[in-house]
Amino acid sequence: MAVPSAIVTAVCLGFYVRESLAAGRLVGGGSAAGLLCGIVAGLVILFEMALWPRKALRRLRLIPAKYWLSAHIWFGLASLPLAIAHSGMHLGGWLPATFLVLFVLCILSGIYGLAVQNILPRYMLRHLPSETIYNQIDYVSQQTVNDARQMLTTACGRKSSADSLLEEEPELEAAKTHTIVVGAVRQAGKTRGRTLQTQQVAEARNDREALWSALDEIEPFLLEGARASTPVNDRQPAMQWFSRLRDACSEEAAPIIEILEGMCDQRRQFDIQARLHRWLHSWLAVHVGLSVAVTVLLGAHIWTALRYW
Amino acid sequence: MATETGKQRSQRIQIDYFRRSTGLNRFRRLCIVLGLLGAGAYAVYATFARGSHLSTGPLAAAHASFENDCQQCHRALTPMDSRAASLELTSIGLNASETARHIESACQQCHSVGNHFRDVMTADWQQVDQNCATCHQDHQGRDHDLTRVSMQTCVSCHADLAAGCLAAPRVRGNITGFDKASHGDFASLAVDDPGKIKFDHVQHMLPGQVAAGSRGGFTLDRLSPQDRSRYRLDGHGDSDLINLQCSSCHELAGSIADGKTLAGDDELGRHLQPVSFDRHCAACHSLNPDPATEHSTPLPHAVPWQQIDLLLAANALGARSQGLARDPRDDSQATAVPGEGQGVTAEDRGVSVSASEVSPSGSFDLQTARELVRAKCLQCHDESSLTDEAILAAGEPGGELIPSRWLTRGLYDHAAHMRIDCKFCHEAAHPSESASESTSESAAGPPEDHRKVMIAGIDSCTGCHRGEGLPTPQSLLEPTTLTLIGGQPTWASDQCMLCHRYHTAGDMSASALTSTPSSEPVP
Repeated sequence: MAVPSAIVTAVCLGFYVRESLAAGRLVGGGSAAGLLCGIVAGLVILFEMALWPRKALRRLRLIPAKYWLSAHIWFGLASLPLAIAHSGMHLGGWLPATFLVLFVLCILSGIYGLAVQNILPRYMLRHLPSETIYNQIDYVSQQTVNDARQMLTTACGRKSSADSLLEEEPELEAAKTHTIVVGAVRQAGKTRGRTLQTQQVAEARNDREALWSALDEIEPFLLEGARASTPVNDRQPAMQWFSRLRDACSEEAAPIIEILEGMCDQRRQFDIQARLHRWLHSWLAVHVGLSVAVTVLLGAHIWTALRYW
Repeated sequence: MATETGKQRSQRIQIDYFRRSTGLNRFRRLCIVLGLLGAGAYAVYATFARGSHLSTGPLAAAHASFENDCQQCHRALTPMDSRAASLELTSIGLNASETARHIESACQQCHSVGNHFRDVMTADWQQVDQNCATCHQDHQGRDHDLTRVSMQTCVSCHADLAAGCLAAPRVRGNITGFDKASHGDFASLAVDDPGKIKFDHVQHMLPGQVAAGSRGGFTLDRLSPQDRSRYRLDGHGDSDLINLQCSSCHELAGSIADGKTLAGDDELGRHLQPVSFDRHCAACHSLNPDPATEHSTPLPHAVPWQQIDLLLAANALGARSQGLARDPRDDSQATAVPGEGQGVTAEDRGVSVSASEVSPSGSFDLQTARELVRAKCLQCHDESSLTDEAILAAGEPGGELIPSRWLTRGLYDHAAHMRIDCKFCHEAAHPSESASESTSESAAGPPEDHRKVMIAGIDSCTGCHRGEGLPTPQSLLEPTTLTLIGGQPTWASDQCMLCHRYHTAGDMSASALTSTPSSEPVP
């Protein structure tokens, strides 16, 4: 789509430059060439907005999203010089000025989005193997805590203070098993990801108090991430903290501690993922909002320009 | 040992997770609503508020009063933009000729100006002429000068006039700049002086109006007391020779020295007042009825002969009744007569006075007196100018014997060039070194001033009036030239509008600029 959009832009700007040279000044939107640039830029804006219904009607499989998005990007970029040529290099009154400024901001937000969408997913794919669905982070975190409890119950028995509640615990049946669901890291080429996998847990009943106490301490972090204040928020202190825990426990508890450490690492990655996800997607809200405003102002601009040409 | 089933694993992610709203979803919805409502509300407000919201820029100061009244000029689907006026898009209601008509009529609501020889233009060019916005583009800011038109705008047509004229243009058809090659010399100077007034500039610029060392130079005491102050230079006494300056006869128009009038837009010293006999000649060349005495009443200038005869007879009768009558051949005056000086006889003037025409008793002979007056007239006028019809015609508009403007197609602003010595452009009117020794009449025959226009051509202008950034010509940097320029800057604009105006007067005929119109444009 780069070539067609470049050709359209070059042809329109060619007309514009020719007419400007003939006039001895930069002609405005009222000139034939300026009007052509304006009409093409306006049509591009309408086409760009058509991405919205295209998404809503994706089940119709109109045109492959790949081509549609490519056209959205390239024609959107091409419309900026056309709009500037249409303006005759001056902002004019408040309405056309607001329109142009919002249009430029919209294009810039799109360029930002294009950049982060190309950079951050690649980073996440390489550095965040525990990545999950953004809005499932809390849900998955809760499951992780449940898994941790189940693992400890299996490995070293119920928490002493919770013995009386044994009958009521929902994980009662699971607690009788000797397996735990973990996210195992798999790598294909440069891509790494976690897959669900069950792992057999050894018994470590001698370290029951220490392990349950450790879980109590890290649970707020597993549930809330960096918002909680725990000794495992950051990687380095966490490593030292788990190292001390290993020293305090017997050798049988080492695999369990490793799983707990892995859970903390996963939660740490969830935090990074959440932050990156906001960077990745918050621009879209701004971009869409600006696009809506630009489309509304486009209508007003056309109406007023025809009336007060 | 129980293992987790696939179904249980799938339940580790909520099955309807994609339907669940997140903060980002809510933020996006908020942005859409804000964009929709904000832009919509502003668009509605701007449409009704108009003015600076819709305007493409502030109007020029002259039009600022209707900054918020767009309908004064604009009409729906009728472009005012100069570049849009030629758009013919009938499918959306755009009609080029209607647009051009609207632009012109909108401007002419207030500005009643003539067109630019439109009746000899092709239809396309007529639309351009109707389109005022071609030259006058508003909405360029309060300080924008609407009358400033670039050379390129003029050149866009004048580079090839034949393309838009119905007949071959009589003016140069390919003007692309301001120099002799691309503009040509001033067309007005190609026409000779009509030569109706005989006048020797060189002689009049000499001290006493005689060659150096010659006797009979004109002194201040030969003028009337009220005229002496006008011609007296600083430090000169009554016995000193009169030393005329250019400004003695060529006075700037638009003087508001009397405090009764305001200078008009076309005045302010831009032009020179026409030379007037009563103001500029009569001090030395008064029309006294001959023989003149200090009591003579000067005759009026440029009146029919019947009136002259009546005044001559009345003057003679009055002189006789007071005992002041003298023989026409009596040149025994001892006292200089204002405007006439020491007695000059009829013979001196070349008028033969026979004995039969002069009565020995001193009786008045009208024919003789009239011949004496006529001889005076012929000093400056030719025979054909002395008939009653010619005299009356000279008083009519356009009948002036000396053209009030020599450069008829362009304007020359004398006030803007005030510091430049007149000699820079009118060298021929000034005495040369040799002329100081002998008057032009004695050395090289009768003066030819009335046959030639003593105005320098375009080369005297293009030295300073050149394109921006072009170097100063070496000729302007010579000491003698710098002295003549008088410290005036050596660069000035070369834009057409400095000298030319676009709009014609209503009574100006297009035939002045073109030959016989034909139905087809000249190729």
